[in-house]
This record gives sequence, structure tokens and C-alpha cells, in this order.
Amino acid sequence: MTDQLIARLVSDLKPQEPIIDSKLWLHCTVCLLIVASVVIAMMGLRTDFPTALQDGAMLWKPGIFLFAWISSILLILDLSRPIKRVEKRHFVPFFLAGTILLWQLIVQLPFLSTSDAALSLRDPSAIYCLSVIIGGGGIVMVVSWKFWFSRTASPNPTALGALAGFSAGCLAATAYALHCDKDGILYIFIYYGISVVTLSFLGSLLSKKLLKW
Amino acid sequence: MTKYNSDRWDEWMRAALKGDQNAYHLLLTSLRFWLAAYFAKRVHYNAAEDLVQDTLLTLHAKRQTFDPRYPFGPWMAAVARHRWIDHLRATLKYVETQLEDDFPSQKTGRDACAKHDVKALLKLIPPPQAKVIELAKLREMSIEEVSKQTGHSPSSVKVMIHRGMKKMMAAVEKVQDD
Repeated sequence: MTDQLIARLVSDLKPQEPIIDSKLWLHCTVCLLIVASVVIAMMGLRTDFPTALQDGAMLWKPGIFLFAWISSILLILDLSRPIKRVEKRHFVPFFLAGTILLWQLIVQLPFLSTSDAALSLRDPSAIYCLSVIIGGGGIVMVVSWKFWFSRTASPNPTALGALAGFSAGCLAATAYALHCDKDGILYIFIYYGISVVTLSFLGSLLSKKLLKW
Repeated sequence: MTKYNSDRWDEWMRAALKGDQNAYHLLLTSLRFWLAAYFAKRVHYNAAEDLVQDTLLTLHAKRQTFDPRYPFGPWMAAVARHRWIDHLRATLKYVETQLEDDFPSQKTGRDACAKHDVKALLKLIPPPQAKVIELAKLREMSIEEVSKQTGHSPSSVKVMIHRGMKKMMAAVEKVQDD
């Protein structure tokens, strides 16, 4: 039986290009540029662009998601092959994203109140935020799944699936943050957070079916 | 030259990725014996050959995840380990759902393999739970018989079996994470 199997596998052999880390980086960077271009072309940069550039909002808000995105790509690369090689330094961008978030939380804390939270929840523009991040991120996730994730053999498929959704969500959030002029930390936590968590959850659910090997 | 020609695996795998069928045949033939030895140490002999074939199929399907910058041996060992853990997980599920005390299974081959694996995993859980699982699942005693022998109530025996199986499953997951 095993002899027959070996003969069948040998006759079925075709040249196969190994998965290469730099190709994933290139793919994701191109996706980020495309999503950012679409957001800017269709919705424009945020209306208070010059002021936001001066007070740093134009940098720190996309920066949170950009750092988280970089970290998620590094971890995806760590988890894509059967041998697990998760390196601690790959969490550094996550730590930077968390630091920016914490810094903003501390800066904005004196101005936070329950009415701000209520206003954040009722903001009409939030639907765009949710649609762009979940919709755009979802498309990126599907494309990346075909390009990379379906070819992996992860020691932890659920974590890899969750990271696929998380990175796609962070990518779309980085692009949308160029347009969005809502800098309230509650708004970011609620709408950006919900979108990214939804995609991560979706990724982990899909992984149970699609990333098992 | 080593027993399984493992010093040539890297060279054969790199050639196989380029489509060299001769190198691939040499690699798979050599791996077949290495895998048979690997699984013989870990599972019942009835299951070993199936696992060898499963692992060869996995190697074929996932060969693009081999990074030619690194040696082939650890990659192959990780694939074999993954298949082994998958097998243990399936065995534990089977033992929990299929080896019912009131309905002894007719699939004796599968049962023998499952019992062999469970016996090895019993060392990973507390002795009282291991004892109850051994009596109920390996010696196929009924819950009432186990209850009489151990002095635990029947419901307590059921809970101990369930918890013990969960602990064994967790131990298998931990092996995978390590």
C-alpha cells in the first residue's frame, strides 16, 4: 500500500515554489496602498487635514493600526509553517500600538464622560467606519487567504486564522483613519475595535474549516 | 551515511521542490522507514502504517511550507508530530464517545489502537482519574462495577471520566503548543 502511495505521489510531483516571506509583505503592502487609495479617492482625506497634521492626530491614529498590522504580519509569518518560531521581538510593534493607545487614553481621560460615550455610540458616520473596515478588510482577507493562508501548514491554525482577520482589519482601519476625523478614544475603541474584532473572530471561525491540515 | 540517509534529505527535498521525481522517490522511500520507526515508538502497531501514509500525503500537500534556508529534518519531524497529535486527539474523542460501557464496540482493531494510546496518556493525569478511566475504558467495566471497585458514586465516576478525558486532551494540546 505504501509503495503504491509513494509511486502515486512521485508521479503527481510538479515543481512547487515555497512560500516566501517577502511575497507576503509585498502583497500586504500593495493591498494597503490600494485600500488607502480607494478611501482617499472616494471619501477624501479628513476635512481638518492641516490641523490634524499639526496636532499629530493624522499620525497617531493611523499609527496605532499600522503598528498592530506590522506585528500581525510578523506573527503570521511565524505561524505559517509547521515549525513554530514565534519571536518575542515580533510583539514590539504591538507594544508600540498599545503605548499610543494608552497615551491617548491618558490625554483624553479628563474630557471623557458618559455623554461622550453616548454621543460616540450614536454617531451617524460610524456606519461608514464599520462598513469600510469590515467590508474592505473582508475583501483583503479573502484575497490574502487565497494568496497565502490556504498554502500554509500552521501549528496553531486558529491563531493564524484570527491573525488573518486581525491584520486585514488593521490594514483597512489604517486606510480609513486617513479619512476619519473622529479622534475620540471611545469612538476608536468602539467602532474601530468592533470592526477589527469581528474580522478576527471571522478568521478564527474560518480557520477551523479551512486551515486544518 | 546515516541509517535513513537523513544526511541527504535536504538535497533531495530541494530537488523535489524543483520537480525532480527521482530525488522525491528517494526521499519518500527513505522517510517511509524513518516514519515507521517514529510512529512505532508512539502508537499501536496497527495505526502506525496509516500514520506513515497520512504523513507522506501531508508532506506532499504542504511541501511548499518547507523553507529551503533551513534543514529538512526538523520540518519533517514537526509534520510527523502534527499527524501524531491529530491521531491522539481523534483517539480521545473516539474513546469518549464510542467505547460505551453498555455497548462494547465491534471494531476491535480500532479499539486496540485507542486503548494503547489511552494507556500511554493515563500517566499525564492524576492517579484517581487514571484508575477510573482504566477500569471503564480499558477493562470495559460498567459504571456500576467501577463504582463498586473504587468506592465512588456512579455519577462521580462519570464526572471523573469526563474530567480525566478533558485533562488528557489538554495534555495533548500542550504537547502541540510546546
